[in-house]
Amino acid sequence: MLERPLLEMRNLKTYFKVRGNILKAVDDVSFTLAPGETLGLVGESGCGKSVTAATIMGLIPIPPGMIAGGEIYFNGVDLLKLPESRMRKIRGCDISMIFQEPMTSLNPVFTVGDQVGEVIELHEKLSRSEIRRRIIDAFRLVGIPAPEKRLDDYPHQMSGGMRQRVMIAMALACNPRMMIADEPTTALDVTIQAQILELMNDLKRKTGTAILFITHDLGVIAEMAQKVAVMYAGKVMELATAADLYTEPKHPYTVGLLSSIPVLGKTSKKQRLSTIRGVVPSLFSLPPGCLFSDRCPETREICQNEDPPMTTLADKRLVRCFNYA
Amino acid sequence: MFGFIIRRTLAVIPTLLGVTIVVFFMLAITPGDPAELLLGERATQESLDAMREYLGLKKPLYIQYGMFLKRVVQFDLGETIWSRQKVSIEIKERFPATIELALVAMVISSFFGVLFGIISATKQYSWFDYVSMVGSLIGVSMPVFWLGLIFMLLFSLTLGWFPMSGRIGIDTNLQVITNFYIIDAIITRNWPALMDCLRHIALPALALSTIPLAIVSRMTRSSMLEVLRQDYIKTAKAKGLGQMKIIFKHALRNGLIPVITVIGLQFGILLGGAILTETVFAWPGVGKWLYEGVVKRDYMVIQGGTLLVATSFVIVNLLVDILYAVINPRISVK
Amino acid sequence: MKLLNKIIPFFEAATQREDRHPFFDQIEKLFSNKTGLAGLIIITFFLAIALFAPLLTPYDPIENALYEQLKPPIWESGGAIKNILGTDDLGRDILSRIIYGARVSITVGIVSVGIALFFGAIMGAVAGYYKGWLDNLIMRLMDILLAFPHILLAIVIVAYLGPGLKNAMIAIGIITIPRFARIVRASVMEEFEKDYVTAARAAGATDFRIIFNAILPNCMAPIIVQASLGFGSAILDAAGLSFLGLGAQPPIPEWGAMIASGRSMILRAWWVMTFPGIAILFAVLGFNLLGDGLRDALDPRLRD
Repeated sequence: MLERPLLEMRNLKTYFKVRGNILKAVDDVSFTLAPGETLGLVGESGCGKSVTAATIMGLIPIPPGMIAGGEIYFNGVDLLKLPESRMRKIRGCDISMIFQEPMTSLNPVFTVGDQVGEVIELHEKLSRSEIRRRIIDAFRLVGIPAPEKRLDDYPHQMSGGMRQRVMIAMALACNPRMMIADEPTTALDVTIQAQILELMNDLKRKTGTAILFITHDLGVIAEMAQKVAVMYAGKVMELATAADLYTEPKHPYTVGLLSSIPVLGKTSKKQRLSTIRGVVPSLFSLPPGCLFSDRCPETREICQNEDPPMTTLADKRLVRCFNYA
Repeated sequence: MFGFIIRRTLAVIPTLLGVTIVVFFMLAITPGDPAELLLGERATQESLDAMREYLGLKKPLYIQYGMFLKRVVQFDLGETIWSRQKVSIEIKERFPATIELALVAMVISSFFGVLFGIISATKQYSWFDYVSMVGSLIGVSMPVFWLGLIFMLLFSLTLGWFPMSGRIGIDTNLQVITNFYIIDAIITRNWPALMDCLRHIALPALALSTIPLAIVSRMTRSSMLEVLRQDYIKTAKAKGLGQMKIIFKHALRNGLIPVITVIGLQFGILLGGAILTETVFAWPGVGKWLYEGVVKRDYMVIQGGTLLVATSFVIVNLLVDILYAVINPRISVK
Repeated sequence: MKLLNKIIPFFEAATQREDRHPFFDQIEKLFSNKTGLAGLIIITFFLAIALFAPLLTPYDPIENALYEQLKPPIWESGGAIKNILGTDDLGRDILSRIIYGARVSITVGIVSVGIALFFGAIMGAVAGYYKGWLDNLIMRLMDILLAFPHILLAIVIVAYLGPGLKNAMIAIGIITIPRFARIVRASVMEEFEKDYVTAARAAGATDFRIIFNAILPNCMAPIIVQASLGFGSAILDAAGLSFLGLGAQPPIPEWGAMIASGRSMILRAWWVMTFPGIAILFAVLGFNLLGDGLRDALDPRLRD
C-alpha cells in the first residue's frame, strides 16, 4: 500500500474534564486509513472507540471535552485545525457516519425521504426533482424495496433493519470518501445483522468508500476489515492486518479477546470458555504502568511501573507490550 | 385518525354531563327555595310560582335535572335577577372580551415562553438560564391580581402609559361587528380605535400572561433538553447541519409537541382564570360578570357562567388532544 | 453528550458510599440542592414569624388606631420607626398585620392540604387498589372536578356555601383533591405489582392493612412533593378568594384581603397593597422551591 492514506491520525489525545478530573478517553492514538480500505476499531465499551470517531467528525462537546494533542489529516488537511464552518461541509459529505441505534437515530417527525434528502440538499445544489431521484437511487442502492413509496414513510413505520438501511442510504447519499460506522449492527437481530454486513461489504466494492468500522465484536470485524486496531482504556494495544491478528495475536489482551469468542465445534463441553479476569479499569483510576497490567496473565514487575512503548514488529504490526519491546 | 377524533370526542360527553350534574346539584343542595334563590328577594308571588313550574320543583329531582339538561341543550340559561336579561345574551356580549384577553395573553406567553425556553436549553447553566428559571419560579408564585395592581400603579397611574381599566376609551368610536374589538378595529380600518384597544388590553394581558409564560418556558426548556440528548440530533450534526438548523428544525419540531399541549391547557385555564384579572382591570368579560353574579348572589348568572367556562375548558382540552395527535406522526397510526 | 453519560457512571460508582439507609442520602441531597434549601429557609422563616407573632409585633393587628392612619413606610417622608412598613386606613401597623397574616396563610395551607390529602389519598388508594368500576367511578369524578378551571370551582363552591375563611379552606381543599387522588392512584398501582404486596396478601393481611401499612408508606415521595406544591397554591388561591371578598372577612389580617382593602387607596397609599403581595409571593415561592427541591431529591423520575 504505497498510496497516500485518506485519513491519517497522529497521536490523538481527546480528554474530558469531569468534576476536576481529567479523563483520558483517547490517549495517543495513531492509525491510517487508505482509500477503499476498511479499518476495524475493536474494544470493550468505554475504551474510547466512539470518542475517536466523534473526534474525527468534530462532534466532541468542548467543554467538557478537549483535544489535548495530535493531528487528524484527511486528504492532507488537518481536521482539528478547520473552523466549524468548513468542518460542517465535510460532515455528511466527505465523511459520513452511521450509528448504533437505528430505532432512535432517525428523527421521528420527518419522513425518511426528507431526512435523506436533507443531506443532498445541504451539500449539493440540486432541484427538488433531482433530489427526489437521488433519494430513490440511494434507497435502491441499499436494497429498500419500492423506494418510491417508502420514502414518504415515517421512521416508526419501518423495521429496525430497514431504518439502518435508511441510515446507510443517508450516509452514502453524497458519495463520501469515508464512512464511520459506529457499531452499526449491534442493536439488530442476528439475521438482520448478517444482511446489513453483507450490504456494507457489497456497497464498499461498488462505491470504493473507505470505512472506519467500530465494534466490540471481533467476529464482525473478521468479515469486514483488512486492518484491525485493538483499543483498551483509550490506547491502541495492537494494530495489524486482520489475517495476522486472527491467526497470531500478539498482545495478551488480543489473545484474551480472541480466546473468549466461542468457536463452534472447537470448544467442547468439558472445556470452559476462557475469559479475561477482572474488569475494564475506570478511566478515573487507571493503573500505573501498562493499562492492562492488572488483568494481564503475563504481567511482570516492569508492566506495573512503566508504560510500554508502541513497538513495530517484523511483520509491520504494532504492539504495545513489554513482551515485544 | 378520524376514528381517534370521534372516540376522543365521545369520551368528553360523560365529563360534560358530570359538569351539568355538579352545576345542577349545587343549587339543589343550597339551603332555601331554589325559585327564591333564582329570582331574588323582591320577587312577586306569581313569578315565584311561575319559576317553580319552570324548574319543575314539585317533580322528583331526577326529572328536575332532566328538565335542566333540556334547557341547557337549548341554550336556555334563564334570566339574570338584576338586568332581567337573558343569560345567553349576556354571555354572547361578554365572552368575546374574555377570549380576546386570553388569546392576547397566550400569544405573549407562548412567544416569549418558547423563546426563553429554547435559549435556556441551548445555553444550559448560563446566566440567562439561571435568570429565566428563577424568573419562572417567581412567576408561578405570583398573585396575579396583585401583579395587576402593581402594573396599574406603575404603568398607568404613575407613568401614564396605559389606561387604568376597561376595554376601550369612552370617547373612542368603534363599529362593533364581531365583539372582538381588535378584529373589529382592523376590519373597519379604524386605526385610532385599534391603538386604543391595544393600549387597554396591554396591562391585563401582560398580568394574565405571567403564569403561562413561566410554565411554557419551563416546559420548553425541559422538553428541548430532552430532545437535544436524542440520537437523531447526533445524526443531524453528523449530516453537517448548522446549529441553528438543528435547533429550529430537528429539535424544535419534536420539542414543541408537549409544549403545544401545555399552551392549549393554559389557554383553557385562562378562559376561566381571568376572573381575578378581569375584576382588577374592570375588563367587561365573562369572568368579571360571573364574579359580580357571585357577589349579588345571582344564581342564574353563576350557573350560566360556570357551565360556559367549564364547557369551553373541556372543549379546548379536547381540541388540544386532537391537535397533539395531528402534529405527532407517531400517534396517528394507532 | 452521550459520550459523557457513558463515562460519568465510572466516577459515580467510585464515590458512592455503602451501608447507609437511602433516607440519609435523600436528606443530604435535599440539603445539597440549592433550590430545596432556599425553600426550606423561606418556609422556616414564615413558620417562625407565625409561631412567635405576638412576641414580634408591637401592635395589635386588628385594633384601630385612628390617629395613625395611612402612615407611609419608614424610608418615605413622613414615615417613622414606629411603623416600619406604614399603616393602613384604620391606623393598623402593616408589618404586624403581615406577621399575623402568616398564621392565617399557614392555617389555610394546613387545613386545605389536609382535606385534599385525606380524601385524595383514600379515593386514590381505593381506585388504584380495587381497580374496575370503583376506579372508573372515582376517576370520572376527578375528571369532572378537573373540568372546572382551578379558581373558578373554588369561587363557585364558596358562592354556594357562603363567603368566609372556613368555607374558602373547604373549597380549596375540594379543588385540590384530584391532584392527590391521581398521584396516589398511580403510585398504588405501581406498588401493587411488587413482591412485598403479593407477600402481604399471601400472608392474609386485610386490604386496609395492605394499603395503609404496606403500600402508602412506599409512595410517600410523590405525595410529599405534591403536598409542598399544594401548600403554595392553597395560599395563592386563598389570597385570591379573600381579595374577591369571598374568603377571610375583615378585620382578619389575611394577605389577600389586605390587598383588597388597599386597592381603593392605591394612589394615596401604595404601601397598603404592595407589602402583603410581596409576603404572598415569598411564602408561595418558598413552598414551590421546596417542592421542586424535594422532587429532585426524593424522586428524580418526577422531574418535568
